[in-house]
Amino acid sequence: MHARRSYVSARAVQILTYALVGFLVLLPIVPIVLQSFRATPLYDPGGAWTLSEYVALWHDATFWQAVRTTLIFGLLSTAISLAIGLAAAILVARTDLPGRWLVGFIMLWPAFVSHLVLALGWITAFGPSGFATLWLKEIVGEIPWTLYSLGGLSFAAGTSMAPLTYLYCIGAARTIDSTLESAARIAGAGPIRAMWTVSLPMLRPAVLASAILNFVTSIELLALPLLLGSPSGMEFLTTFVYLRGFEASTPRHGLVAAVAVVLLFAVTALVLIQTKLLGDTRRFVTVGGKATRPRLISLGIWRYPIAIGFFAFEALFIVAVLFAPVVRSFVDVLTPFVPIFDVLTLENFQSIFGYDQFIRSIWNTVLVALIGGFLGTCLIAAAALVSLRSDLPGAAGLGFLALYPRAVPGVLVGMGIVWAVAWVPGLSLLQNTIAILIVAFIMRYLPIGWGAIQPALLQISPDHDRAARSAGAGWLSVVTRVLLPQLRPALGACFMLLFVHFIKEYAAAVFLFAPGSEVIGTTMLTFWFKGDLGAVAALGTLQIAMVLVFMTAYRLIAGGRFGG
Amino acid sequence: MAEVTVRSLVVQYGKVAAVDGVSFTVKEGEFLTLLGPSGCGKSTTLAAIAGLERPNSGLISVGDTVFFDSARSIWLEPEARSLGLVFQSYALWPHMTIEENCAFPLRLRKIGREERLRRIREALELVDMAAYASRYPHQLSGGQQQRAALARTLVYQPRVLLLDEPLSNIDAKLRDRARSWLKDLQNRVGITTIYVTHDQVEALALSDRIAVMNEGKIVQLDAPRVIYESPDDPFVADFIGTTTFLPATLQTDGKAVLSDGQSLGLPSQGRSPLRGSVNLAIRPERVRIVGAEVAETAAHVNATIKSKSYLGGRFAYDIALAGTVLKVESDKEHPTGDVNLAIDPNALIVFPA
Repeated sequence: MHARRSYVSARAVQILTYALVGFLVLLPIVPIVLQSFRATPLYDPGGAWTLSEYVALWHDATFWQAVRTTLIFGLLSTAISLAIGLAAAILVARTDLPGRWLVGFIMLWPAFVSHLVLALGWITAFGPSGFATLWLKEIVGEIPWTLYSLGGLSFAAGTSMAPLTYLYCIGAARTIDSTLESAARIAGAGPIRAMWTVSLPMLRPAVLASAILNFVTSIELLALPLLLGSPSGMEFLTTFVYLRGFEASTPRHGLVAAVAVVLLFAVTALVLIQTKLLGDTRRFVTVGGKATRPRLISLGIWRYPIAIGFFAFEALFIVAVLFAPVVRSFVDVLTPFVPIFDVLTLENFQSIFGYDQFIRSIWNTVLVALIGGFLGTCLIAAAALVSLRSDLPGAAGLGFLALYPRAVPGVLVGMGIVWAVAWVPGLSLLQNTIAILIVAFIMRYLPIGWGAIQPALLQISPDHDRAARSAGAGWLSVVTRVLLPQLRPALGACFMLLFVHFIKEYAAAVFLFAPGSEVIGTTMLTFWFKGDLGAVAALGTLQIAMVLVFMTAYRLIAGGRFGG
Repeated sequence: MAEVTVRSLVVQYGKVAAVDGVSFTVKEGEFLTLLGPSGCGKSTTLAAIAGLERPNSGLISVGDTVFFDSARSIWLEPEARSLGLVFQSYALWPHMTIEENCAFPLRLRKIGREERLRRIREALELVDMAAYASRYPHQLSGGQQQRAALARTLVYQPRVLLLDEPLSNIDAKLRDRARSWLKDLQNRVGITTIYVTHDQVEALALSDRIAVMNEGKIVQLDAPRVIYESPDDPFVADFIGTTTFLPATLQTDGKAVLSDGQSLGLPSQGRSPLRGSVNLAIRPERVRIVGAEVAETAAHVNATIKSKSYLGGRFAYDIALAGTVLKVESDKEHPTGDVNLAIDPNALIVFPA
């Protein structure tokens, strides 16, 4: 009787988890797909099914222009992110570059900062009236670059996406059997030749995976294209959705939904390709012999020139870009013509603390990140356990479901959920509360948390489960007594990742926030369009500070380490 | 092809000397093995010769070429040494086929296509791998990978062949075959070879000479037979083959008295002027178990068989003698219990206690 009861409750928990994840993932997608076949809003009764919106899209020249711009931007920024991240990974992991630890550490910084803050940083430093631009104009007499161009935008986006390439490739680079490089040296190859012929091809799977992920990211990027691209009239698929679905006075729901469906299809296809394309990965894996001391490739006389070059690059395009908003937040105006001490001020911070909306958005952000991070971690852990460690029929499909939001751009998550709230009876209770933001954020970052928990769970041998089961434990006991305790570090990492992403997130929130449920990201965007860059910088600085404080605390408590 | 000279080589990791003043010469065409337990410095010595590890001091040269000389600050990068090294992991580049693996060193040497293909074919035929030229490494078995790695090394005719435990990743069953095949190959190619292993059987079977290493130093360098039959040092006696050490006291009459009062005869040409406490080293196959039916003589000692195990064709015994457990092997089966042992005086090696 006891065994029977534990079986029933285990099944109930498993099915509930499955249903919850399924509901969450489908919540924004279903309304978008349905809406794209309607000319009138979904919640209007009596609408008819039609293909008219797709037809309209087909004849819309601005749409095709946006497709073209998005593709060029995606390819350019992916290439740039690859070049930077790959070079850094090989130099840090495989060579005796002086200061390689610091090179790798700084390389990761952009990953912890919102794209809004990065956009502000690029504009403040390298924009038409940016600090570095004006300074160089003084010396050279003309501006050698234009940030508000497809090239400038791609460079900014590429640099901000380089941490992902770096993380993917450095993991792979560290596992390269150094005897492969040694064998090349002995066979007669110099250090550069050995890197080119042996180390680089070994990284092919990591390069491919990060290239596709970055291409997906660049296609769904909103802040950088919106803030750096719009001034010169460029339109992208995401800005198309944002401007017509949100900013426009009379949004054309069906048309926007049709664009969204196109976007969804493209991104889904890319994600599927990425999973399939890697093929026979054993061609890149070697079975090592005894644990020899890994030998580093010696760069010889190139050591210092390469190191200086790389540090200069990072100082300009990472450190300066990240510090620009911080400095900007403490001054009235940032220009090389006025000494910085003459314009120092706390006014930006005083002004934001004077407004209710600012205080509220900071408070809301903290709440969303804490509560959302906790609930998200619980849900993702449950999903991983059901998917990988239960005999529920179709359990593997849960894993696919949890990873699917990778293919859903943030703007679409927000838009889909807005429509769902208006359309599904009962959900309107959540309207204009931070609860709806939490739902959207968890949905969007399911794959991120999954990435933290799933590998750790796979590391635990199923023999643990079998041993506990034969000792008389039911599924729930196995999970709570045997597996979860061993997963504690992974749960911590999952919470950390969700927290940081929730603090940074704005794209999924732009459609969802209302007076009372603002978060830092949306408030920044609002004030950006009002032209109050000082306040935006102050908020950005606060956002960076929150991430820093939290990560330091996490590091102290969990002893956790990331990347580098 | 050339003679290898290593003189006063020191490789330091922090404060620990992994290689501590190693010197040896390998004659042209000779097969020398560096043998020792893990961490004895044998692989580090090999890496220093190959140029993968930069020594702190000493000299390494091959023929007239000085690879490393701390006194004259000479250091040659690995790619400039023209040596061949087969790694324990084989280090076949996994993204290239076997043929491409072999072609890479030839391309680096700017050898034309026709000549390149001819030499690759020759090298692969030499190791019986011609049929696998277009395979990727992961499609080969361990033994095939090892032969492919050898082909990749021999294809550019290196001056010296360095082998770092090349047989240790092969199944035990295939290892014997791979070993005699390797010996045969070295005979045919006639290349100067330095071989690193911790497996004494491999070392004894393959080598012209063996350098036994311990804690960064060469303990003994001799022909295999000398190493096995007259070790200079208790470490060598213990490491090569199975050896039991019997504590005893040497007497002026040339006899050794065990702790229980029984005595053993010693080799006639006493090589040690030792007195007092000693250890007698003895090999398991040099002790004869005398059955109860044979009359006891003065040359016999009393002992007790504690346990035995069947090894297939022969038996291994643990025999208690004067408080020490003696390892003995015999092709005859004896019951456990009291027994007499006949020990040939010439089978005993005397070391100071």
